[in-house]
Amino acid sequence: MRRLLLLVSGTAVAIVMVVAIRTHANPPVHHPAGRPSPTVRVALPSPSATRHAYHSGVATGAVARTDYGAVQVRVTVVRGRIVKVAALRLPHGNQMDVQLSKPAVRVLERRVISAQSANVDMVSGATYTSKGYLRSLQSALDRL
Amino acid sequence: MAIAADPRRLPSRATLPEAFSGAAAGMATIMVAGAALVTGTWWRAAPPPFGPGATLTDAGRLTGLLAGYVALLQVMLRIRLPVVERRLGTDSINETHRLLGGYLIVLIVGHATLITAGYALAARSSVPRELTTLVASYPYILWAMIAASLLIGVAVSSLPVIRRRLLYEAWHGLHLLVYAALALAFFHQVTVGEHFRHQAVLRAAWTVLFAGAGAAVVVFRFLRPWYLSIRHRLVVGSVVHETPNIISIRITGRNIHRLHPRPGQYFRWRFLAPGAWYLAHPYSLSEEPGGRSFRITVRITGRHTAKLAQLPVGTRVIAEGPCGGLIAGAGWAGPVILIAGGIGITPLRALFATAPCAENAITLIYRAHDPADIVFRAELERIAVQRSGTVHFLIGGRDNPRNDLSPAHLTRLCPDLSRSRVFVCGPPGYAQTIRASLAALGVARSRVRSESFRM
Repeated sequence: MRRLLLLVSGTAVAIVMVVAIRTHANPPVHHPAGRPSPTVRVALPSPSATRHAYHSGVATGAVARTDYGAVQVRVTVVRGRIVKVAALRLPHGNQMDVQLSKPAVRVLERRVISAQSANVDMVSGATYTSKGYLRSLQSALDRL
Repeated sequence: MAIAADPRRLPSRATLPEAFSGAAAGMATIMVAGAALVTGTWWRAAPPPFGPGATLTDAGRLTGLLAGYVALLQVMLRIRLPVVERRLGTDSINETHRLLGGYLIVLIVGHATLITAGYALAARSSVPRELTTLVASYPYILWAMIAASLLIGVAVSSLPVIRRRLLYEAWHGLHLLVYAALALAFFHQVTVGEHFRHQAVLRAAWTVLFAGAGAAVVVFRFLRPWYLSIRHRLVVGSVVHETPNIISIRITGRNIHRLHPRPGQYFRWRFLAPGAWYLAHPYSLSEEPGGRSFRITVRITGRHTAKLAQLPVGTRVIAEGPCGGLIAGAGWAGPVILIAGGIGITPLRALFATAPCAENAITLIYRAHDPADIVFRAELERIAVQRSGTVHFLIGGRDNPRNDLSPAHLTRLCPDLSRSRVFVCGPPGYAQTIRASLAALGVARSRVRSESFRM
């Protein structure tokens, strides 16, 4: 019993430590081995060049395929400004994907609206969703 | 009230002679290295989750992976791999198995709790609602929950308080459910597990590990004993009474030396006779192997053993083993002391004839409650003469001060105890008394090897 308590408390301490280190190290973005590491920014014209350059209207982006599922967004532009990005499709492999994607999507929309372009940082921990989201968004913006 | 059945090995604090202390350290190293590998996989193979509850979810994933690894270790300890049996010994294996069993339950409960809490935070829902979502919308989570319940049930049935009240057959039958539980739990690991779901290579590796463990169980626990029994045509050669309630069963067959038991080891024997076939029990070889037959010696204490006394000659025998670590490895040139309690004489009888030791320096101490319970008296005296060894027969219980195996008593019997290698076999209380005496006399734990059984 004493040895079990030792083993359990040792494991608990070890788990807390490695999880804390991993969270704090906040490794940029993890990728399965063997895949090319993605660029964190999507190459696009600079924000100044694109600012206020959109025609007003609503456009639906192309479906962006990611390893975890399809992403599609619809962008709303009013008086040349992006005011809303709605996620039409997100990876729905299971509940966890939904839970992973939804907060990421909220963050992305905020970033896109403040930058007024698809040229924004991805959300770490939701790289695939971010990539798909920004690709789909760019194709939507291209139509306006 | 437990039905006193047959001599049955129970966990007890095992202490290892030199040759074995390395094995224990080796096993600990393998376990820690495996856990490190699992942690590395967890770190590298999936991105840390994002958003609220992420830390809990991440810790839950690691806990789950560790639980899977510990489950595999548990299986490996139980399949009676000859090398593990020989090097660790039964008591050490049982002790580790019990320790890891409790540990596994803690990991599983921790995994379920952390994941549910983490997902609940991420989904901004309550824990009970999240639990319902998990079961309803994820594949195989219900199976995993059934598996966890089964494992918890098995663990509870193994708590000493409960175990004492259970028939061996009931407890053992319950324990077999573990294999069903591991099979059920496997599916949620590879379909929902974040590290396996997206990565075919890892998924394949994990599947191979689990399938391999399953195959090892089938091969080592089932196919091999049957194959050996058929190949060596193991049958009961004779059953004789040593005393009114102790019998010796001789098992004969072809080329039985190729089973390679060492003196002091045992097999788990299953006799294919009506009323006895469904139980396999561990009995030590009570004679040094090497002849054309094996001899086991059994004390009649219950229904099952009473049936063994009436086994017809020619009954087919299935032997699982050799098992156990009461082995006197070569390379020892000092004195050897064997201390037997009751029917614990059986493996020590074989070691008495064979254990390597300094010349004229083997001593056997054999305590029995009643003169009528002493078996092999003539054989032991003959071996003592041949090896110029010493036998002490102690009759009576431990309440007799001339018999109590206290440090003073042991020193009187064996003056060179501190230089000796000691083997102990007897009921748990007996073995414990002796280990305490030996410790008080300063005999290094690494020189003492003990195995106990339940009467």
